[in-house]
Amino acid sequence: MNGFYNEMLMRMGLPADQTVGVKITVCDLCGVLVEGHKGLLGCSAEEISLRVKKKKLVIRGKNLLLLEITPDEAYIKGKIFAFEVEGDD
Amino acid sequence: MIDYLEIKTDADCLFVVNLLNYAGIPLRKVRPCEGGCRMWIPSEDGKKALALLADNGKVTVVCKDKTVKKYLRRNFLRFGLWAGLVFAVILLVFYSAQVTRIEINGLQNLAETDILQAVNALYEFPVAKKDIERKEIVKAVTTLDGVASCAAEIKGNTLIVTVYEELEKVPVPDKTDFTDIVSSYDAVVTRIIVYSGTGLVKKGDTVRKGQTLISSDVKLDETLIAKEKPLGDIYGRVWITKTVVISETVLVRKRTGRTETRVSFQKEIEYKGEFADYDEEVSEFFLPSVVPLKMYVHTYYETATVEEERDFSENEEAIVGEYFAEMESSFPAGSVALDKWYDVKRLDKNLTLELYYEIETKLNS
Repeated sequence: MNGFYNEMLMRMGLPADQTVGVKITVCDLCGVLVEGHKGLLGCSAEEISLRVKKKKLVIRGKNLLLLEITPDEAYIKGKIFAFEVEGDD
Repeated sequence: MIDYLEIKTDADCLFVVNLLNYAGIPLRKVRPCEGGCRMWIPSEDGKKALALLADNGKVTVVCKDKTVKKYLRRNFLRFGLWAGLVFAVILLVFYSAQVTRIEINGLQNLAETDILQAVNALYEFPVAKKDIERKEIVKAVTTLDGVASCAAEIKGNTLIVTVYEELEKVPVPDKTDFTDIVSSYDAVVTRIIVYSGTGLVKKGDTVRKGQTLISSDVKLDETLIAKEKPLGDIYGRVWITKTVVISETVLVRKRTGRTETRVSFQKEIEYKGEFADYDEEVSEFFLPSVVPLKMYVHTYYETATVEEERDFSENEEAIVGEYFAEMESSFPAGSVALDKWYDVKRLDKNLTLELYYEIETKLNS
């Protein structure tokens, strides 16, 4: 996973030291893994919001279920329609 | 989910998740429900989570307890379950200590039934593993004809017998026989390969039937001659001839027109009629009764041998081809046909057909 993540950063030409912290992995638009979240901000079957860094990550979809949540990771299952990041830079 | 607790609280999802996550407790299947939310928490964190929620004034109910302790406590008095488990374990232990089947590997020419018979003569399967003496099996199988060696091993419930067959015996030439190699035909030598002895002919030589081709005498020096088994292959061109007298009449079996019919339930019956020579034809039909019965009609046609005229010139190719095919069938094995031709001579009543075949064959066959 780490090797894949580093390769992705390298291909995108992003600095590795500034881009660590949050990783969002989407599996076939039916599952999401959010690594490095800071807390849950909203939870319903249509929308789940998580705090990432100082912003709000909104995941919109259908039949969303917070399958597992730990202090660092969140596994979300359901039909994913959209991702949105809210908050100022 | 084993070793998890399902809880229901009257608090909002966000509050519970953030509170418990902040305390380092992971949560599973978090879902809002009427009047609060439901979730699964690991049983080891159960007490801590419940205390935290109580401290914050939230009412929490444990809906499902799937801890190992609870599970064991619930099933402790189910004697049928334990008896079944014990029975299954005993059965497995008993089964694992038995050999139930035989697998035989490495067979190419030998029959598997022979090996199975040899093994079954020692043990009646299934048999306990400890009762099997592998050395005895190896001994029994090795005594069979065509077996060079054998290995027996037990894997699981299978006795694996690996057989190594004997190699085919190579014929050893008798080197004490000093008879010269002589030609079997009148021929012209085309190839000669001498392994031992002295070759007396060379390529292109004409040899007569019975002439010595390879001699057993070997010259060691000017005066000393030693005997050696002559070995070698000599090939030559051989001409084979065949003379056939062809009559202008030929004997043919023909039906006279008289017939006899028999009806029987049997497909094959013995003919007891007046025809000395006959052809038989069998046809079947079903009786139109309630139960359709199969019957056979045997028709016998009387035949007689009659002389019929044959025109050779019309059938020349077919007749000659037939006789050439006859000659080819009598060629020695490994012969190569080089050429063939024929000649027709007319006599008063008959024809004489002379056939010639040129072949290359081994002269010392």
